[in-house]
Amino acid sequence: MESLSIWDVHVQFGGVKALDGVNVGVPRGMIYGLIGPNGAGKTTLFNCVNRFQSYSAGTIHYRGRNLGSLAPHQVIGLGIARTFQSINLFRSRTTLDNILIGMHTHLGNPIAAMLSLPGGRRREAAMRARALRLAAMFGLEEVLEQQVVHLPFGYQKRVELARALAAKPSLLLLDEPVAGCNEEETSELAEVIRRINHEFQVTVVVVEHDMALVAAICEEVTVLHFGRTIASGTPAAMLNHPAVVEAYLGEANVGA
Amino acid sequence: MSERGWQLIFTVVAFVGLALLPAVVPGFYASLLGFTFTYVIAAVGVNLLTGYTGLVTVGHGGFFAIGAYATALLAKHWGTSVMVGLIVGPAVSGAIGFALGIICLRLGGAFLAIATLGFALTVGAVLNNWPMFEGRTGIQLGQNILFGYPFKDLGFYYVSLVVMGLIMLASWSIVRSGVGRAFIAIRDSERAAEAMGINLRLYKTVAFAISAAMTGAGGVLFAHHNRYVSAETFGNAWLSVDFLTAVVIGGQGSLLGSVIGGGFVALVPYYLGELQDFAYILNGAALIATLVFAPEGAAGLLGRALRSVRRTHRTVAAVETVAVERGTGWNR
Repeated sequence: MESLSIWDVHVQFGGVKALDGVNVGVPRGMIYGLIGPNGAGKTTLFNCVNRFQSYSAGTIHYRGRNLGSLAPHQVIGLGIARTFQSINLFRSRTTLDNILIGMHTHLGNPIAAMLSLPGGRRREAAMRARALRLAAMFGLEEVLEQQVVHLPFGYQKRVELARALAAKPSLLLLDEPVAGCNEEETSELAEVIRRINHEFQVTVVVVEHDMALVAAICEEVTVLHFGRTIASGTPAAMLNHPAVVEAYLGEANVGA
Repeated sequence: MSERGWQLIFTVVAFVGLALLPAVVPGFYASLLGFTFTYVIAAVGVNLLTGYTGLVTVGHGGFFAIGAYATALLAKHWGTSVMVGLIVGPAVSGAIGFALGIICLRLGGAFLAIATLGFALTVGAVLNNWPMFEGRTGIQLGQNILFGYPFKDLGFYYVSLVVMGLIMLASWSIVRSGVGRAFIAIRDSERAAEAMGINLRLYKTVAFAISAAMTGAGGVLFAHHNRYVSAETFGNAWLSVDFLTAVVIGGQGSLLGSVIGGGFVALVPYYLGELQDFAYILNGAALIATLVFAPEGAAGLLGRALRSVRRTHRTVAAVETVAVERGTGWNR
């Protein structure tokens, strides 16, 4: 059963067709890859799902609901969380606060929270307890009270993942999760993504340039090129698909 | 002890000290300090919006004025006391703050600063020209009364001390709650905040409203302190500039910063005496110096100094422990 279905989505920036009829169907429970050369429109597509970007034509459904009428802050309410290509943490805050902000949809009555009424305090305590468990799961216990801006890169990546999971999403959009990571960090994160998929029952969509990672964790991938879907299938099939090879390497190399 | 524990003890000691001060210090400046508290209250309000939510306002003098005129008009027409003013004033300025928040939703940075400055000037123009507000003639307020008892400077000192305490408590409670975290999230990254489900429109307008209501409460007290309001004081943008200056000098996103900054801006003209026009120059110089040398403000500077002292203590203690263990210490 498809959980996220993107059908014939078009986005135009001035004269540039950023997305020119993209179709993607992500089955529930899968780790799904979205690949393509730079400028293919992968991040733009994420932004469409997130409602940061409006699209001129096409539809995006999640679990049967059309996302087209939602405001950006309502998307997470349907269970769709994301990370960002360049780390986008709340930099002045601690690891713990970042995870707690990720739980914003579970805040309950804001007035009870603001005045720390009994109900608000109970919720806050429950949120903190869960944040501590999440932090432990991602190996962030020692840096809980540290400002994230001072953390090493690998830690920041994990804070972003923990924060994205804090809302208890059913779909996680990861925009280049291992960009800038070394080999060790990459294999660590691959393991983390697999665990997220298994233990939390979260469908994952990964935009990634690291083909080894894509081949290792994704069951299926869609290839974008100049805003079009050019192929989809298993990672192995895609890496040998002539249209895909051409998109990445240019025409001259086809059949060489 | 945790940092929060120390903060709590410091705050309690400071408030108890302020409460006892009039009894201990002869020739106590109750009037001056009561006036200073009204500035601190205004700065706490501005800090919630500018320091925590990251929305720069050069218009809060307008909300201060709205609070002041609300209570002045009530007192003039219905003979109400400061208590009624403290309820109605913040309510009116909060509601107008909410409306201004909606109008300014799409603005950020310098554009927001200019729009809010425009608001302050608009309020000033209304006060100058609308007959109801009596322009530069101003409105006199009668004897201050609380629960049927008249009070003077010392009474006012305690009233404004209590109101300042309550508003600081409210600000503290909001900031450390999920709502305060959402405000800070908006300041740090609007995009990420939205992705976490934070409704930018709602939270920004609510921040505007709460901040305006707090600053309005400062205005109410200011009116009862002077027992007089006029466009001479409120008809320009200088109060707005003062409050923003207070927050930047004191420390953005810091309650202690609001106290230090509000106190600084309120007291500088007083201590300059005859030269009080130079306060603008002094404030301006302090503002530039802060932005260049200590963007985190006086409170941030103080916090950094205290932490480094504590760290040095801990390091010394650790070195001594090691020395004792090795049998090389002085303690042997």
